[in-house]
Amino acid sequence: MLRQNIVFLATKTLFFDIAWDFVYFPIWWYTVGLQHIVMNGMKNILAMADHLALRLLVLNIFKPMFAQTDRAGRIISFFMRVVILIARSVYFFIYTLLQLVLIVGWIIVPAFVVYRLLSIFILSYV
Amino acid sequence: MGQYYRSKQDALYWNFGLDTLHILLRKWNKAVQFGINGLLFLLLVLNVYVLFLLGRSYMFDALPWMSDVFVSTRPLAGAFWFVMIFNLYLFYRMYHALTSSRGKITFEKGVVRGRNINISGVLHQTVVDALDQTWMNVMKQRQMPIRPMQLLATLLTNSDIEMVLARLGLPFDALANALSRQLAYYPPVKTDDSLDDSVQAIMLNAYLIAERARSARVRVTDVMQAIVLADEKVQEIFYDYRVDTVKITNVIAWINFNNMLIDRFHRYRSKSIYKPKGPINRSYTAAATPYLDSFGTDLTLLARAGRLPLMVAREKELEELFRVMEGGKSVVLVGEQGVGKGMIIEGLANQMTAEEVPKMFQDKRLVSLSLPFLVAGAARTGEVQERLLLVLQEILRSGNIILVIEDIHNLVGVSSAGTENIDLSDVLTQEIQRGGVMAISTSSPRDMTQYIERSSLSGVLERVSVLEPDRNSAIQILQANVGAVEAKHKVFFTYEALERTIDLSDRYLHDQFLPAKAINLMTEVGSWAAKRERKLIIGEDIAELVSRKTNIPLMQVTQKESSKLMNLEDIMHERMVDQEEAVSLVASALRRARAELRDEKRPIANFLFLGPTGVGKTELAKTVAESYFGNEEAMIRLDMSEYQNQDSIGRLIGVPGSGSGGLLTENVRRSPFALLLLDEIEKAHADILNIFLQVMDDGRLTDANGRTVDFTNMILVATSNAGAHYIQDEVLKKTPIEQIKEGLIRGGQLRDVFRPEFLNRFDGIVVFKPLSEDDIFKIAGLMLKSVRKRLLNKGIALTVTEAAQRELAQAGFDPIFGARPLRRVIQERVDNALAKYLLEGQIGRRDEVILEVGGKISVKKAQKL
Repeated sequence: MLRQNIVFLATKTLFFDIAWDFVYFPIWWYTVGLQHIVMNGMKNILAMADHLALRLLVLNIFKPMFAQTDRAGRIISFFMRVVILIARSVYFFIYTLLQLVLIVGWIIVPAFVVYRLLSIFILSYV
Repeated sequence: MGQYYRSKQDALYWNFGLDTLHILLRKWNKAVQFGINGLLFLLLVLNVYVLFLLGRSYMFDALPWMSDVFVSTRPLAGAFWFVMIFNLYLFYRMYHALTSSRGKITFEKGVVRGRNINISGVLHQTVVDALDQTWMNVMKQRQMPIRPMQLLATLLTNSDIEMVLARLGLPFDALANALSRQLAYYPPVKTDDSLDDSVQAIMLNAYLIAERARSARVRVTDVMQAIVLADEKVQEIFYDYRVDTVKITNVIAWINFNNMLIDRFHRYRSKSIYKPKGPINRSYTAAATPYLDSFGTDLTLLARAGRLPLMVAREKELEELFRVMEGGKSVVLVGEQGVGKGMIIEGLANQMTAEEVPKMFQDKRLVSLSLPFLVAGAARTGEVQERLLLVLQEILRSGNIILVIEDIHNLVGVSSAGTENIDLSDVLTQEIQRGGVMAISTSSPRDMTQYIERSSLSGVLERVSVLEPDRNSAIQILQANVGAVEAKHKVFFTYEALERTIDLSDRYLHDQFLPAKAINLMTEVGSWAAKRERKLIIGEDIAELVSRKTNIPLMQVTQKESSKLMNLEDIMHERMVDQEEAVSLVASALRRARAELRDEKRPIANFLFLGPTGVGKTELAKTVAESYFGNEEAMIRLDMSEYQNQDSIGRLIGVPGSGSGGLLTENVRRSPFALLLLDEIEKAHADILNIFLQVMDDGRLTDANGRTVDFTNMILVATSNAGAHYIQDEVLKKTPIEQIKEGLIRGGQLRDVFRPEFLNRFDGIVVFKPLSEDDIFKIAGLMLKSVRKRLLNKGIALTVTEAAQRELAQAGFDPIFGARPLRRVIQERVDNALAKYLLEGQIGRRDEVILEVGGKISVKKAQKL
């Protein structure tokens, strides 16, 4: 009798835990989860900027490259740096866009799933 | 439950359901969660299959396929999206478990506000399992509530704990048996409380330990540490295996430390990908340095490739280096060979690749310039200077290089052929002074004083001292290095082995420095044990190897040795006749030394042997050398009559500036484990006696070149025949030997020769009695025994009649010269006669020679075979 009672109690607690977890999942997705994804994206974007040394390139735009301090060297360096800067900025832009797509995707996907389910199972039979 | 503890701002409490319901719940939970995850994975696979089915109907044509999935209202598409919910749920479960701070210890930055923390909420799963298991065991035994030892007994089966036990060198079975013997004493009580109060306190301490180690959860090792620290019975059990709480704490710290190193290694690796692969920095301002590259090694590149070891326990020195260099000065790291100057530089290279350095080191290269390469093959006048100048020019131009020059003193005084050239060190000094070149260099203290402080470099290099690490740091360094040895030789070091490696190498391996000498010793032990197919290396193994190297007995006293030590007097008497007092004094000093009860800052023992010549002073010294150092040749003998004037100090400890050491210091440096015999010490000059005063007091002596020589493993024996007449006279008057000694020390006999503070330094002043005729008879017996031994090698037996022995003793007895004439007598009467017989062929193998009164020798021929 006592043993049965305990098993019943245990099962009940467990069941409520699981049910609550499933209910909590969409809430988490749009709060804590979203925050994580946004922060992660920002971190990735900043790391990429660091990796591409964008700031360093801008700061050193008038500095000669490869220690070529003569006149010609300075001029060539300036244009070279501009070219590099443009190329890397494009790369950076694409990368940032990708990160944004990820974040937007995070927001849209569950909503889209619900929309599709609604349109297939409810709207088509109404 | 219900008790609160305060820790800083937080309130800690213990609320853990430990009963059938909760245990069952946890078990169920584990199984159900596992089941749910499995089901969700199946659904993921199913959805991939649905996607495949949808595509197959369109022959995998992307456009209609996708429109079907995203637009159509087909039921199959509906199924796909429905299952998608569970796919997303699976993603949530995985991601959430990874990032959630639930069930983890959190560390708040900045202002800390008080929190309510349930300790049981941050337990590692293994701890929860252990608690549940313990509860079930204890329930079965009807020994509620759970007490610390019962929890420990369950923990023993955990693999992390097994690791700790192995590192401690603890035999698992013995420990488990001891625990179960103790557990049997618990009376079968049943209470409502599931945990004893002491266990709750232990869990609290485990939490605090975990928090201090900045661990995310309370691990089994934390619980074990807390149990051992709290429970005295447990401590007693461990203590039986010579494991104290400090050792356990250190072993657990070792495991945490290793995890920390692994984390750091991974962090360096992941961050180093941003470091440029070539010589150019990230802002492209640097120039290529082909000339420098041909004479040097790029350490940051090596670090980037993960080839440099991690730096341990040298954070303080690196901090100082940063401070000095940020002030704009170059640095010279000054330390002895092997203290880890190179490791600091390699550590810097590692940090530079991860860019975890001050701003002036960021985006820079660390390049080590090799002086041998620079100098090699330079024949032309001024060529070396030219090379160095070119290298420095490249560094200036590039502007992203920090130069490393190891053993920079080698630069001083180097110039190419022709004397008109300037020194290389001057070239470097000039460039550093002009700014633009930053250098990190290394040197040893001696070379620093001898070369650099006298050169122009001293003005531009700031000194950062690198001292030998202290014991704890040295152990940490070994812990960081032991993995390589263990992996290579497939052996396993216990903590005690590492500890003894440090202690023994520190004490017995001279002229080398920590940590290098300890690492070398550890490597040697590793391969030595591997050859003997030994897996576990314990402290005794280290002691054995050091013993072999130094000839000093260091291992635990074995039964055989113990009985030898207890009967040391008898063994010594095999070589010595009478002189009871002297022998027992020396024997007990040796026993003290072997039992490690002596003062380790002084020589093992200092003895003054007093007595007339030929009574066995030197013989006793030899006996001591043989019984303690295993060899009577382990003796440094100085005839102090050769040091009668003050100038002879130079011969003893060397002359300043000569570069060569003195007779005493060099000999002791070369064989630091020996007996130092100072013959006829009363003849030495008073200043020389002062030197020995220091040796006896401090156990060390600094030679003329500033090298400190260690005397703490020497036995110092000084002999003197000062007061010999007094001794002879008193012995004739039958005065007891104690009284003679008093008379010598207090009366004028010794005071005129030695100062009282000198006499005070001796552990024992031993008075040797003049030998009586009876003694001489016995000594004659000993000497004849050695003749017999020599003859036995030739297969000839020697018998000496007692009358003959007495005759020899009478002839050899001299009240003034002691036993010395006896040797001559035996030589003349026995050895010479035997030699003649042997040469004439009158004695052959298996013959017996009989020595009779009057020196008559008869031969008993053996039977022909």
